[in-house]
Amino acid sequence: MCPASTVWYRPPKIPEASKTHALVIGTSKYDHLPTKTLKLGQLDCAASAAYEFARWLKHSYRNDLAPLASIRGLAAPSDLERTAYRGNDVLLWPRSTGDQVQEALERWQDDCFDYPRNVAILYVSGHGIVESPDHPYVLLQDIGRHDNFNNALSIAPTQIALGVRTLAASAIFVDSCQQLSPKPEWDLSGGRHLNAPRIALNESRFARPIYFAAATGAAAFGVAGESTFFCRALIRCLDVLAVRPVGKPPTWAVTTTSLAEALMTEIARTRPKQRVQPGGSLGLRNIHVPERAPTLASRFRLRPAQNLPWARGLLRNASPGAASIPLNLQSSEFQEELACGDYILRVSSTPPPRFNEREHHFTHIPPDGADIEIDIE
Amino acid sequence: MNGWAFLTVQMPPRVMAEYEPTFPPVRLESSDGVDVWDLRANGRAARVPSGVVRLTAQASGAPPITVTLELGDGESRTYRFTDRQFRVVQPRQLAIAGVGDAFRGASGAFFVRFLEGPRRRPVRATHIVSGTADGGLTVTFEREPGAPLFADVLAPGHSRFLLSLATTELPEGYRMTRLSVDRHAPTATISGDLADPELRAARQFAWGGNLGEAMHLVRPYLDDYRVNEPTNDLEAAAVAYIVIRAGDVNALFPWGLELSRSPRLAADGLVVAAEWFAEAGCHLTALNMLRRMTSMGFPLFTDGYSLAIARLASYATVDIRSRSDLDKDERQSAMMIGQELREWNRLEARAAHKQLTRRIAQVDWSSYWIRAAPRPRLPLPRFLRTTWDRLDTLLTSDWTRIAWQVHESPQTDPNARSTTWQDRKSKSDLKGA
Repeated sequence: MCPASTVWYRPPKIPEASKTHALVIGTSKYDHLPTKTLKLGQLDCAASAAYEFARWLKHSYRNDLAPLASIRGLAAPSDLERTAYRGNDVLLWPRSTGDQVQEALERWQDDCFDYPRNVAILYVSGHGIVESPDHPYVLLQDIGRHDNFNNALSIAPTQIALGVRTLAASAIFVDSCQQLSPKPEWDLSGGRHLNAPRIALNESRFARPIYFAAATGAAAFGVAGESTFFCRALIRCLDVLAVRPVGKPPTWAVTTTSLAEALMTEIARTRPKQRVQPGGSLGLRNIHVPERAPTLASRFRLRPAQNLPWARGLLRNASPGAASIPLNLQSSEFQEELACGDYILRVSSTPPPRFNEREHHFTHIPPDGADIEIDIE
Repeated sequence: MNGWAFLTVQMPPRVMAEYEPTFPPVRLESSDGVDVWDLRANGRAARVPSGVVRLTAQASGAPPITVTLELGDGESRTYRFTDRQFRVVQPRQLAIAGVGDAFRGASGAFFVRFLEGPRRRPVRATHIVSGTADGGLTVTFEREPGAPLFADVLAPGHSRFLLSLATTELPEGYRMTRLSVDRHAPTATISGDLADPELRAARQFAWGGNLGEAMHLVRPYLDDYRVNEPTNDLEAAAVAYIVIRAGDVNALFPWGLELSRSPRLAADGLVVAAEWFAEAGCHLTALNMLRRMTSMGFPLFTDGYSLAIARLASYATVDIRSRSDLDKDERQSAMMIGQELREWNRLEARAAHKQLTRRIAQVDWSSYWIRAAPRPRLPLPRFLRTTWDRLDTLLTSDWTRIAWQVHESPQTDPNARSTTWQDRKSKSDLKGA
């Protein structure tokens, strides 16, 4: 097992400029879970969700203004997850105990402040308890060792502490239930956290969103041994659904607000009982800039169907220099996987129908993609 | 408020699964036929254009089921889609929802009393509680009650719960507040009712993460505050919390800092000002404001309470021994002088946090104004609802007994009419449409 200070991934070339530092924590297996007082059971998907998100960061995260510089990971996988990830180096992550998490947090904080305008990403999954929507805890592996919340990660002070120096933005993903504290007399002012500022400094971040997997008082769900619904939705949103054309000239990017919107929609679609709750201050900032435009299905409908045998289609991206591709118009309704962007569809016919050379301009962007009805009368 | 209504559509998960392939399962169109909104938020109220609108549900491969509604300005309606029909859900006339549960009796009574000040003592001013035509309550006070003002509600089978209330001025120094049925929620709840519906909707958007829409709604207020002082402190506090959620804390200057001068919203004003000072790095000032706030009582707004306890809990964890590797220039910044948090500040923050959370067992965090259950006391057993007279004698004279009756509601909306029916079977299903 690696020590808590270990960085799981560091790219070979790290620029001497603004960077992104990530910390990923997932706890499925609890050593002393106070099952009677908290009525919580062991989990089977929190650690694997953390692995999945860390792997996404490693392979897909892209931010030109602050390229990825480090990923730290801590996890307490269940036996099922251990089997599922057998042979994978994520199993070497240090355990997500209170002490280990505290040390990793401090190392991560040092890295986050190593250069001006860095970006910090924190993803944490496991059981969660809230005192208020702005003051949540995520339970760590050794919660219950003492009769308090010392071995839980406290998000509120961590969020404040990240803003005291030079960070440009932070994003915190809390992939846990947001259960209300069952015993109001419990002391909820402890926990593991970054230290809130002692010394006055302006808040440095333009955006500091927190994305909660569940609404206050509600639960979050997952598939045993695989991942959580939130993590899946998050990755799908970062890859496709939350990508929007931003700025002039437009570039494809996931912004703090587009991610919140897409996450809520995607979770509502896949898990109607779960509801994503954004917190912190969303601001407006790109948090992921994919290398290419995302690809998703666009839907075409041609009316009337009897004219189809004479219809021919040529599809061209509206960007200069893009090549045209022939579109097979043999079916009255079909889907085509296209890279997002503005398109021109030229529909022509051979006689007898009297339509020829009609151009249809359409925009194909997430989350729904284009849905075009073409008149070939 | 012109041109908007509130609509809630509930769809049971099993029906949702059937209708999911055509996501969103229920669509809403305005009279000009343009899709203006889709009902993705299952069971949550959404602001929609008033007038004639059309709701459509369509399962894959099945004909659409459409119903046309006429929604009045400011009207709130709830529909449930089951058995291929939209059925209107009538909120109960005065159902009592405690914190985290709902009372579902057909009739009964509850007791209410009004508490004032940080120590939540019964209001001393003479006050009259009267019913309104829509099933709510109006409370008229002889003079301004102390802030914060709470309604303490006691219903059979429930823990007591507190509702924070604001008052409005009447001629000759009288003050008035209202308790009403929150018709925006699928389960009717009683709540304070002096909130601007526009700002209530903005808060709902902000709470749901749609900060763009929330900021769009509050933008006119912000533009006004830039040139004129806010005339309505309740309105200004609601705007301030949305601005804080959106991360645009600088927009609070200067009007947001003046809110603490309002007698009825001093606590909220201090929370708002604390957020502004914390953003500027003046954490000691922020802490002192929150400490002052705890001596005054409670914020009226749930957002204020949440922000206050989160910030106090954070200051309570400051590690005084932590290293401070700031450079010399940073240390000598004028901003920092006198703002360093010390050991005793940490203890003060902890004490203030405890004071704020003491005697509050549970809070309804989705509520616009605070709706909280005090420290757990045994709920009144349900059988007591039949022995109200006995209970009446047990309670002090501060309590007012309110009797209520649930009227049977029609199962379908009399205003709903079928439109584009493509399926005869589904047409016959909508009885009374």
